[in-house]
Amino acid sequence: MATAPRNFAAELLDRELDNGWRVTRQLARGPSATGGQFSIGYEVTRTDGVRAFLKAIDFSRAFRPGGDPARLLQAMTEAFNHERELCKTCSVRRMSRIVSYLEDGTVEVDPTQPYSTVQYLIFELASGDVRAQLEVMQQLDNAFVLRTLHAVTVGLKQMHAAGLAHQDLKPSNVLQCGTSAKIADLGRASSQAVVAPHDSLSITGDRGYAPINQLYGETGHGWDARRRATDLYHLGNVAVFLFTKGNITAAMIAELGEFQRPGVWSEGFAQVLPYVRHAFETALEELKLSVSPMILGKEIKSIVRQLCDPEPDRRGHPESRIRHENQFDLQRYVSWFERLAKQAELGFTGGAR
Amino acid sequence: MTLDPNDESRAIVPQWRAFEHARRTGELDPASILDAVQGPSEALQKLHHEWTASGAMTFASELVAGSLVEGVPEYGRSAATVLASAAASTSRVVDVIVSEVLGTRSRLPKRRGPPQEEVHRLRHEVADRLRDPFAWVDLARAYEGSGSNQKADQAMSIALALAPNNRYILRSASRLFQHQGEIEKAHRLVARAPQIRSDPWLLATEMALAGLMGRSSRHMRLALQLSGDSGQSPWQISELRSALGSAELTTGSVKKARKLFRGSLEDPTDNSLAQAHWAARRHDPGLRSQIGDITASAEAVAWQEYRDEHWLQALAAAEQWHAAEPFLAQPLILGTHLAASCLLDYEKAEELAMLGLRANPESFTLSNNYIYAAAHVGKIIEAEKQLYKLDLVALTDRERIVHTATKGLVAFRKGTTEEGRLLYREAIGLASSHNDPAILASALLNFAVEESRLEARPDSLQLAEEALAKVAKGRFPTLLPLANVLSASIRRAAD
Repeated sequence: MATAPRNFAAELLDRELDNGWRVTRQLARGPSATGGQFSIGYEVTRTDGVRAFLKAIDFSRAFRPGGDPARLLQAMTEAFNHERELCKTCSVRRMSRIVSYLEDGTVEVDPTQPYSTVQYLIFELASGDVRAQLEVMQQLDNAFVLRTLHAVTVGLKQMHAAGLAHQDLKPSNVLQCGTSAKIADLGRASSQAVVAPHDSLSITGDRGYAPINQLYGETGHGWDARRRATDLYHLGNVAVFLFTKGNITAAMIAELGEFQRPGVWSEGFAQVLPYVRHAFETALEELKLSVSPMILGKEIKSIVRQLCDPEPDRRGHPESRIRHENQFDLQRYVSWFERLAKQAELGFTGGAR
Repeated sequence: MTLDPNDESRAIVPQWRAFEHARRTGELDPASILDAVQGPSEALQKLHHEWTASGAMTFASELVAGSLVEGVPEYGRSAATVLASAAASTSRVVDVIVSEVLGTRSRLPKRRGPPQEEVHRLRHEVADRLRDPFAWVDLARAYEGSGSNQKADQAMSIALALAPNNRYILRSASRLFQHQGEIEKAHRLVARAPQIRSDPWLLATEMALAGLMGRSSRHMRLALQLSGDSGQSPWQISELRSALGSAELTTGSVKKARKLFRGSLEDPTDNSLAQAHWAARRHDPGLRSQIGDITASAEAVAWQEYRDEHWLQALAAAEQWHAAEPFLAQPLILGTHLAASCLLDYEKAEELAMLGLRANPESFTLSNNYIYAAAHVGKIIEAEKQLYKLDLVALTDRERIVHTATKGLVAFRKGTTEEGRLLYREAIGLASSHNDPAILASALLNFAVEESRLEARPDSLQLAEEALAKVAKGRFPTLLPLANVLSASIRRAAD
């Protein structure tokens, strides 16, 4: 009878690592499959007292019975290397709104066993993701939400400027680091310069947060429309989540007829698009009514309308399109969220005083 | 006098419903569906794990939304139940998602107001959703219902530009053009649709419009194939079979038509039900036994109740039919006739005729019925104004007789009695020479009623008796209510 291979990544607690790091705690989060990398999270502490987050990659999955270890191992290794390279790029370019990558390394867990070497990445430690912040809030703090959105938009803009696209932005990947929000998990990110193993997938990130076009198999044409437009959609969806705890894709699907939904509709994205657009407009109306005060609701509706347009080619600021600038450039949204956050802080749009 | 509603011809052109209504009928569904829904992703399973471990509402919201997006709503149902019963209020967006996952969502159609209010509401809505083609279609429909044909045309052009190949929009646009008398344009639009050879709904529309132009469809053979063993559900091809049946009727092949209509009734749309009911009424009484419950079609119910002389029920159904297709003249022609002639409710008749004239200002029958009702309620100036608007050149012989009699009524009510008498006599003479007993009886009856309202004259009793005899002889049930009024008036005079 075949048994499951030993998961060495799960055996790092209390181990000493290179450069004075010690694994002090396994984080409560369950095994993570985000980024296509099966990983286990730990808290690590350096000899100088600095605490950090360690992401240990679980290669044991490649050796599961019935699998193709050579192929799986190659895929996992490529994915790990890709993520590590992107993390390094972000670090070199000092992206202030991307969770800081500190270092990577390996540790041999059991010298008597083959393949017991575990690879890991170490990042700055966050106090938690944005969902935990929302959970403890008695009343939604618009200023906090808008500051978070501003930070996330800056983070995406920093990545886009380096020719990178995140592709898997969602609430659990927005971390609270000190007083600011930062983007984490580059496991599904794409680079304009290097082809990633997951680049050929029609849905690169979490299916539950996928842009609606991707659910119908429509990915967009060209790097910008395919990658940056996806980031824009995800950003809009994070805005929807932070204000409503909802999801714009789900809200659209709720407005679609039973047979017009992804996985059921048989006639292609162009044919279903009129229905999707109608559903989108209806969902936007619900969004507007979900945000208080109404004046802010109108602005958030406008932002989400531009960011989450069902057609990737139509995403982005209309002014940018008119001026023949890059429509996926996020600078206008950085400014927009900055203004709204300031207004909220001053109490003009319902921010905490 | 009012003119009998005419149901001599009927084509199975699309019923142009409001978008939400059309969606509820299932008319927008694709011909085939996929079964490509996978199980919950690992990310969703992780969320489930996080939610069960923490009980956090934020995770519950994410889980419910994710389950809907991934097409596995059952996976998020327990979390949705918790959210639905949570003391803390959730946002409207989450409420929508939760109720969808729980299957408790009620999509109540928006309450419709009078045509102008409807236009106002939809203009406001369109301004906020400029790229939503269906909002433009609904606005076009409201414009058409309020008589603003040009604006309806403009709104529909925008809808067509936004979604040029959408079945609902093509069918709605063709219905609009047909209503505006541009049948060729309507036909061209549908015939050139890229999916015409595979979409039974468009094919049915193309055939109906070709029939209205006196042509037969180029796709007859294909239509027969599709309506046969094409693997499509009987509901999807119901209107196509009905269109084929109607085409057979025009060539006189009643037997073939009956077979096709029978097929269309396997799982009928309300339109194919109304078409089969019409075919049974006008061409093939043998088909009647094949038609089951007709309550799904307000049109069929209205005609059936009319035939059964249930005037009140027929009027209620005609109003329902009008609500479904507010730009159509037929439901209101039937409604005004029922209200004025059968129920003697002239105020109702005037109100319905006014509604109908907004969208159909060229309709002689609606104009005539309006004048008749307005004269009865004492709105002589309005009645006369409408008389001047009529285009008399295009009238048929029957319409000319009715028009002459109605002018007689207005003259009587205006106090120019002699002119009224002359006009009624002219109408009666014309009806006699055209050998039209129904029109003759109606003209005589209305003339006699007008005379009975004046001081008694030696010949007025004779006229009343002649009118009553004609009504009795011809067994015209729609004239009986007015005949009863006349009889009562004679009795009172005799007493």
